[in-house]
Amino acid sequence: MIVEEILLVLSIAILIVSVYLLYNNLKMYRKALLLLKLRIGDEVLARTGKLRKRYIVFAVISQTRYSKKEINEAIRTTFKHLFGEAILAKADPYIVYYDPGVMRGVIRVSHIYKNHVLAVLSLTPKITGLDALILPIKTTGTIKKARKILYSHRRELQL
Amino acid sequence: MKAFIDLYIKRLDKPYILKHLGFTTVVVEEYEKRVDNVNGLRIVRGTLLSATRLGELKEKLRGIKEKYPIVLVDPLSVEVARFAAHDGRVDGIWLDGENIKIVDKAQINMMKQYSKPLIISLREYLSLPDQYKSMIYRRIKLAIDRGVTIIPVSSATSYKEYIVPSTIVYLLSFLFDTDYKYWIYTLASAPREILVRNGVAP
Repeated sequence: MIVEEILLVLSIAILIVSVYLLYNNLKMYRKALLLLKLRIGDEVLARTGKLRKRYIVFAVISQTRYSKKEINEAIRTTFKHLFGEAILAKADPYIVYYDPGVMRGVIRVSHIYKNHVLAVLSLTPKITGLDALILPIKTTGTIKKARKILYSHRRELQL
Repeated sequence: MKAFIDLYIKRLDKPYILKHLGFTTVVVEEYEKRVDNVNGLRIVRGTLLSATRLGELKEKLRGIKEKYPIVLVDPLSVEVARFAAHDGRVDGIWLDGENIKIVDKAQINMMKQYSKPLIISLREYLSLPDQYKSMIYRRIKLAIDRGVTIIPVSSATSYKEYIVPSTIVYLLSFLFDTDYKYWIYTLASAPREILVRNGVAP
């Protein structure tokens, strides 16, 4: 009888300890979840860490010869029109190199917003009235490689 | 590289550009031959029929497949839309600002039943007023939810209006909150299925 009582008390004690430990674990779990939520809320940046650059090699198909400034202005205007000023500031698409002779260039953009710029390229002639088609050729991670690609393609795209 | 297909081009201009953009086949309305090959680019003749009355549509559809392998219908009344949805000669239902109210839930369900895709002209969509854009957005979301295929077309009249598939898939994924892979499917595999069904696939 005494043994049974002792066992009962012991089991109750174990139960109380396990409930206490579970409660502590739950608290930790909640904290971790909150931190994760904060990171997800704070844009993709929090997850992706370091900001890397992408270089999009593009070709302009047109009968009119546009300058680097005109193309850059058109792309930035369309980007602002489509995604707003806040995203434009984060993405910062900029033509780092443009050769009017072959009508090809390289756009530098943050790696998170690469797809945004590709989407913008399809709308640029429509929004800004640019008499041209902008065709992305390749996306690279270094400007050296981008320049190599720029001149490696044949000139068949020119009108 | 994906073999992209533009299911409706009004007038062909500088066809070699289409090849560079990644298209293997295009459907052109103003073209002499039924099926043709130009420098590796397959050109198929197609047409867009618009009708307000059922009799008018039936008249236009009579013997049309001999001239045009691809037939799209722009319905301007409910009865025409319902008929086009289940007619075997029709390859797709056109959606624009004029027939937005005709393409409703019942129409979408019927199109799903008969596997008819919804064709949307990007040139027209982008030039519509904001209110119409929202209406089309809702129709497209409904169609995607119900499993109806949306096929974007250029309906271009000059080379400047051609769509660039590698960029347009991202634009559409932003516009309609879908994965860009869905739009690759609708620009490559879905139109190909229509061409295969009509015996004009490359």
